[in-house]
Amino acid sequence: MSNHNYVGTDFEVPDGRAKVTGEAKYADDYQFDNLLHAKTVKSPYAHARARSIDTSAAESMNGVEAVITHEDVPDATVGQPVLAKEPLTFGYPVAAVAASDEYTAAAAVEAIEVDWEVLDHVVDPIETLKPGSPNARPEGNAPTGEAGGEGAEGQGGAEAAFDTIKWDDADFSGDFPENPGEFTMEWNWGDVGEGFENAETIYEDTVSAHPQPTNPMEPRSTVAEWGTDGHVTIWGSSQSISLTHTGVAGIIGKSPQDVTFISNFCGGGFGSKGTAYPQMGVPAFLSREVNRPVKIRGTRREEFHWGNGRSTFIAKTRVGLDSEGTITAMEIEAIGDSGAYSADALSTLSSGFNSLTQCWQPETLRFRGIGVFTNTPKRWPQRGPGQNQAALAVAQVIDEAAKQAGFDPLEVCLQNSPENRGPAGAERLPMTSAYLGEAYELAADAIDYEAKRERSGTREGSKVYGVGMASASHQSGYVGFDGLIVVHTDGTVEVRQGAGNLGTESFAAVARMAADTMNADWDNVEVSWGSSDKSSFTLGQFSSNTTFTEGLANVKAAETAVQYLKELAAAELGGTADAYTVENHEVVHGQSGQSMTFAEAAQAAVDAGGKYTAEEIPEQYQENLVPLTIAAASDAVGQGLVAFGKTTGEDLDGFVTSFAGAIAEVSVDLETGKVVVEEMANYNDSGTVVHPESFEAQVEGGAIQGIGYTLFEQYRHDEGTGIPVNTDLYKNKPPSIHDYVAGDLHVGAVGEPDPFGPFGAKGVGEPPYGAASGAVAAAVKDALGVTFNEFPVTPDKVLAKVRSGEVEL
Amino acid sequence: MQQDMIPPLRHIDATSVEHAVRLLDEHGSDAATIAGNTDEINWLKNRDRTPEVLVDLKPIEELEEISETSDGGLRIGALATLSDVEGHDAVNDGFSLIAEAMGEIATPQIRNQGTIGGNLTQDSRCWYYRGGFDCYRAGGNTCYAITGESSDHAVTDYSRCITAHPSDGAVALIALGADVVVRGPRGERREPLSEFFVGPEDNITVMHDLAHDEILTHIEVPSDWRGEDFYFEKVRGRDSWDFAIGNIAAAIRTSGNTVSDLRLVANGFAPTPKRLRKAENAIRGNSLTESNIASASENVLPNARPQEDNEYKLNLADSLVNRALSNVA
Repeated sequence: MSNHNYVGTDFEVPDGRAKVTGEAKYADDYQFDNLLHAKTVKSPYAHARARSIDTSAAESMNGVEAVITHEDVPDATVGQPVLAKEPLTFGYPVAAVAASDEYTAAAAVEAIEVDWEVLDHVVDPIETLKPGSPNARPEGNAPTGEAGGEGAEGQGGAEAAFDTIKWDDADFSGDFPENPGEFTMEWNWGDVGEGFENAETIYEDTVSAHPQPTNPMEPRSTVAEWGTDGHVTIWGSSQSISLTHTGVAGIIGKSPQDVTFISNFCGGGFGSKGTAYPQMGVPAFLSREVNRPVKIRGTRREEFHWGNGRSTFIAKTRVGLDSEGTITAMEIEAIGDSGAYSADALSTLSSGFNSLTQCWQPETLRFRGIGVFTNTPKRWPQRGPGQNQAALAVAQVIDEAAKQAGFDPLEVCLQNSPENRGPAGAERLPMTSAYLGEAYELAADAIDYEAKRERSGTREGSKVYGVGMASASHQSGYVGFDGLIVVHTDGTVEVRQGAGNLGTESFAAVARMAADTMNADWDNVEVSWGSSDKSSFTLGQFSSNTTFTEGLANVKAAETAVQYLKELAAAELGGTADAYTVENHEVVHGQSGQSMTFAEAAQAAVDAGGKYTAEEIPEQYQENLVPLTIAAASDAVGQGLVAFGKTTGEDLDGFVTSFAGAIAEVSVDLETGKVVVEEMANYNDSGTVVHPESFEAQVEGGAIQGIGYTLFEQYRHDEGTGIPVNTDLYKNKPPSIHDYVAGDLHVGAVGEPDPFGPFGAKGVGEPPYGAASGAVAAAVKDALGVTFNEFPVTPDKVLAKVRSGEVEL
Repeated sequence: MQQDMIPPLRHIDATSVEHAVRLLDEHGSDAATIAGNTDEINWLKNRDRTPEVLVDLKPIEELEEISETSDGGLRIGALATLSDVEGHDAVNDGFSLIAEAMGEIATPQIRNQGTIGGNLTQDSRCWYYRGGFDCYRAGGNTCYAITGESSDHAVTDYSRCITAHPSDGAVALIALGADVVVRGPRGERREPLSEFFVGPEDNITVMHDLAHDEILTHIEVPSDWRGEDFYFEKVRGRDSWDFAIGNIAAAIRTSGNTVSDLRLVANGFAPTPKRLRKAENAIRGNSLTESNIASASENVLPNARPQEDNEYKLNLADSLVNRALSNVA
């Protein structure tokens, strides 16, 4: 890799103007002459079975062009069926109509009669483990497949396997069941019993990191056109391209080559649109009936019922500290909730466990967990799925353990921060780099920690101040994916990256790295995004991984392109390829100064053919390049220089791990119960920062969302009916820019390059959220001297503790 | 289950108060009114309400006016937007309590669109009632909140239904002794705003006493409390947009440090705006010393019967009274 002209500097992002002018097309913006509109018939119960569905009245209505029911779509195993015979949540659809306009579609939906058999439901994850409690799914109450881990988090979290597990001998009277029964997941480092023996201070508490709907601004709208030739085109709202493309092909029973997936802009996903979702299948199956484009326009309420959200993570955490403040033992018993339609609880548990090993490096540990199903919306990765719940779940426990052991909590955080190549995960494999301690130190400096600690516990009128801190981490880089660069005969360089356009601008950062690698002029570099037809195959745009994963693959493609350019120049101008360098869209001989432009070299590639234009796939790619990547080059074959990149296991030794360390000061009003985040510092170990503006936006946005998670947002289900009650934005309370930090929010990067990352980069998206969330929780606890076992910390919870005398006035 | 599509209906612009009343009279219960339409549209989109005729009051420009009356009071047209009321000189000159309350309602966008009349006539915010549950208020025979999620609900003065009144504007206006002017087919009537609201013991399906063919035209604020000491506070979970968990509006007349008269009104605690008369009586005629304030702020909702998850509101009500009185002292 060569000069850093672009990496580390700000630039105008390629999709920015379209967004601010309104030119950007989201899924619902696509219009067609012969468009039909889809709507669905939904279950009014938390758990029920459709005995029969009478669609005859709807079918005979003028303007109704297609009606389908669960019988017309394939079954899904653990995931969401497109339409369900036995809806496992309130608001899940059983049938759908396509009509000439939305009014007719709505009227047709109301004309469909469903004969419902109402079944028992359960919405509380602990309740599902009680003997005699109902199971949320017909197959059982617990997912028992192997957790997929973080790399597969967008794919559903675990293989489909089920069991009925009840904790027959447990005592359910406390926050966490005593004498629990079977756990389905267990991780050990050393002998945790010995670890506790080596501890001087042992502290234990239960904290429930709560569920919340993901609630992206853009609901799930999709247009699908099933052509008479069998080719299906889908315009959807997705974070990703490659995995959504293959995923939606799977949902509708097509091979990816027969499907084109287009998603140029995504109005927010936060993980919930990491891959395909069943709402995409509804218009597709309706379109199959009539071969006309069909649009389903997602609604806000559907987003609550039929969308997905963060999994519950209820953890009883026991921590042992020795006289140095070292964590000699950490033991966790945890229950995760998948909702009804995923095994996400398992990847939530394993990702949470993984992050705790990364952040806290306990000398010994035993983590045990079980996932359960409830008749609540599908749980699916949301920004730090598991990692950020774990951050919230342990923040107060560490704070209290540190204080009981006589330490300032920051000392314990620093003492237990990982070594640079420290171990992580169940297998204790090394991380590629780790600078969490440095992040904490920068945060402490930025927020003037000593002064905040000094003010901790002091009163100002009815307000009491507190300071707290937390960390979070995320595995944020993977190998095994493809890159694709085309040098056109006009000399422009096109990066055909396959990540989506979630809004983080990491797809553009990928192109910046490729441009630097080729010493290309940014004005003559084009980033293609948004269409599966031009996407090299890569991982989904989740897991904070695009900059690393897609960046590395495309830097490799850029290196291939540079090599080809040199070879072509050598063939044309003489000398060896190694004698040439690339600069300013020219290939230049280092000694003679003879040169040819990229345009001329691309023409030379066209003339030469073979590997240079992908008419022949080089041997090293024949085995390992994904066919979709080769297909994505097809229109350029023979038309320009085509260069592939492929990352393999040789490119990586360890877990790519990004970290955040945050310190927050809060005030808590003992009369109104109101918590205000007075100031926060949120510093991140993200390796090299490729695009400073996007980096800061990610940390700031993560901090706001983390504050919202701890203080405002939640799912609320009526237990008696299983129906969610807060399905409006004003009742659900996602944070806005007005719910920010009262004073300053300091953000920054450690900036140490990762030895394996492209230009030293890792990722940033997820950890700042968990660190912010945990820091606010720890600060509230520091202010009041009591642990909050349940979240969010709304005024009623604070005042309830005042009323009960737990908090002294 | 809602489809996010308003069924076809007839939208009629009312050109005058008389026109509006005539239309409502003519169409009876088939008609609904809209003004700012920041709320009704949700009922329509969710298909929980399906009127055939929508009478749009917004074109009645005369109802947007805000003016000072000859005796130094205020006359506010019901269609004045919350922003207009908040920013109006006549309001801020002597009646800043109203402006403060307006500024805390909802969001800037909603304040620019929503009207003061709508703020007073808004329906229950109970999430069960709004969620389409067949509760008492919706014509059923149970209150789901009592057995379910009631942390936001009323702790006192309820009967079967425990919805809490949500309005921020109402408490400020009642504290100032405002009247409302209502027009219907039988002409104009006027009543104290405090009597405009209807609790579930009187009629469980409504929040106020407007008949279906009546419209609220004006709010009139007497000069009685002009320029006195005021206090408004709204406690909510989220700053950017939220209804009050509890709010308080106080108008306090003092002579020296002695309270000669006062009105304390709170929402979020009862199905209608709640005069806190016990606290008023405890401090009226007394000086605003710390101990007098403390004793007046004790157990301000003496007849409360909270649910387990909203007992905290008793502390909140006491604290709000304490803060209101302390702020003036």
